[in-house]
Amino acid sequence: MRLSTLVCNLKSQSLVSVLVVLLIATGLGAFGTTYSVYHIMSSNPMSDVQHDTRYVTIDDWSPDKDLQWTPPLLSYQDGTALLQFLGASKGALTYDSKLVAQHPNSSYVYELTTRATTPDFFSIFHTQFKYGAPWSFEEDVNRTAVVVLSSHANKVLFDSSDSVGQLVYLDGKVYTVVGVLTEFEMTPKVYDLHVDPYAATEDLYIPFHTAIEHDVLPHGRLLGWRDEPMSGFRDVLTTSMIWLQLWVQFDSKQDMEAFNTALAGYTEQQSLKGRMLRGHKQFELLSSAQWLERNQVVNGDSKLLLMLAIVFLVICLVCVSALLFASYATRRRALSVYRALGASKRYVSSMLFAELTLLALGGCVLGMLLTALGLSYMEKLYGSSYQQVASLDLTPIVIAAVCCLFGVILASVLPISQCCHSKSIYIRR
Amino acid sequence: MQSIIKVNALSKYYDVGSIRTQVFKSLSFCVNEGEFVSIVGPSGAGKTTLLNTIGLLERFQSGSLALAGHDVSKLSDTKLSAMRNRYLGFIFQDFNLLPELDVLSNVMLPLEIAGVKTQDAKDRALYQLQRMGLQGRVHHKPYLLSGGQQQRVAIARALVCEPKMILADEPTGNLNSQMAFEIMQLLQEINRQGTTILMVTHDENLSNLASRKISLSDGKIVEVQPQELASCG
Repeated sequence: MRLSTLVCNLKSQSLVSVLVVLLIATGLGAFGTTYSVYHIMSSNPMSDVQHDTRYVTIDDWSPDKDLQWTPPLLSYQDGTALLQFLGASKGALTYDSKLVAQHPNSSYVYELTTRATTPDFFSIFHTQFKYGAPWSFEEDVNRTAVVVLSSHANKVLFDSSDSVGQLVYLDGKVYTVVGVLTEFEMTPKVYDLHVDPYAATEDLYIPFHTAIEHDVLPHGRLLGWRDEPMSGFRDVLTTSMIWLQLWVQFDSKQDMEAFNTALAGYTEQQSLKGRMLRGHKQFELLSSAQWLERNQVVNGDSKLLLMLAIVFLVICLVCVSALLFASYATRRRALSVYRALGASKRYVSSMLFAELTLLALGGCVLGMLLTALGLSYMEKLYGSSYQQVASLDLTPIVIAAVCCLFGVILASVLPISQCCHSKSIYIRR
Repeated sequence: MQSIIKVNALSKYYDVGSIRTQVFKSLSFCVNEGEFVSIVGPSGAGKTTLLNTIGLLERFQSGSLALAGHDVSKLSDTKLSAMRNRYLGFIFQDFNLLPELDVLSNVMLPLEIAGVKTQDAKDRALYQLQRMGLQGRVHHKPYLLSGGQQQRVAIARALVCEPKMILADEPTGNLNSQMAFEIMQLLQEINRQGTTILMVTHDENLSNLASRKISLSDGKIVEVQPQELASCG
């Protein structure tokens, strides 16, 4: 069958054709938008990591039986103590902050998001360096004032040039740039889900011990339940206040078992000192998937929204089916001419499927555009923190379009089958 | 002469709920290659249903039907459709041209269904349209043509696959007498060139232009004229 014949047939039913395209497009637009958001929200950027990466929790929270909550962060005492048990494994003890950055030769200052971390962070979370390299463990322990810039920070401060070796003021202190990252995005930001799981990655990365030395305050949550006197940041380091995250990456099961044993010994020792009062599971090593689940990154609203979008798509497809029934009823005489000229039922049904495929493809293209518009609208509606979630990722959009095409085929089976097998298809005169 | 249509004890009825309507019963006749046969009879005699049955558009309940030597009783829809495309050309009272397609595309349609390549189909369709004197109207939509011209497009479409037989259902029913005469002359010319024609009409004058006339009444053959041509070859 010729494409021009199919197009002529569709033109002869122009109103129905336009309505079918619009129905498919709106159904896909709604489904594609919500599915894209859900897909990114529910994805685990660490799922393809070869090594076993675990998030460490220690439960030193209030023994109040009504509190089922598990503390998601570590105190400075626990975090730094656990770094000693790493052995050959990698570990990233980290917290987030904000620093005011300034190029030595410029009067402009920028408030940039900052992550204080031990150097293994860069390899555990697969960051790529455009220039330079991360600082060493020794530099970290020796409180060296070095910094790794994100590509954005490097653009703002050094106009995207190779800034390794350059100096930069951070909160008035001089730091030396040792590395510049390539574009680094992680959605959800698995390594820090506490304040905003969809926030952008940080602009600056400084050594953990240097940050402590320079009194770089945490910007995220600082939680505690004991009545402990505090007059400043230094006191936070000696209290049981929790504010640090610890990720550990193991090369083998033996390494993990060794760390697990050391952790059990540590918590046992701490409970003898009057801590770990809740008695039950005192520590956990959670995989990234378990950690995402624990933090309910995909909330109930997103799931409900996705369900509603699926229902809307199904309603659109039912409407497509109803339109096809009506359209084919009016075309029976024309189709009977095809039959008289030698077209088999299979030929007629193939022709109708081909026509519908053209409409479905048109609907899908329009639907994808609507999806892009929907995502851009959501980004505007919810602001910059939604930028990563509402980003245009082709994979979920293509999956949504394929689902929609499959749905259109399903919706057309009954009308086409009934049309081709109806006895009224035959010409009387 | 070889029979191209062999109808033997052919019966057809419709069941509507519990009511059975017999359309025709135990019809037997033959049409030989190159013949021009008309089927006449009053309205409701079963002429069109018989033509549709011979044209493989409708199934029958009993008896047998052979077209060009093929028994069609147990053929699948795909094979029946292929036979319709290859051996039969249809001409209808209402022309049944597709309004969304232009004249050329209407004539190319049977070749498109047969899977003939577009350029070849176009050449063959243009040749038939030229034969019908419609070479200047190939890109017109059918509704821009007169009734006679539309019927000539329908005849070109019926001939484009070079079928062995043409089945015509009241081909002049919607035309004035002058145009009806022209169409009948055209059909006679086509018949003289070797194509078998089976025509349904209720017009006695037109039926007399055929080489043989089968009269149908209440689903039964009541007369065959001339009688000596009625035997199967």
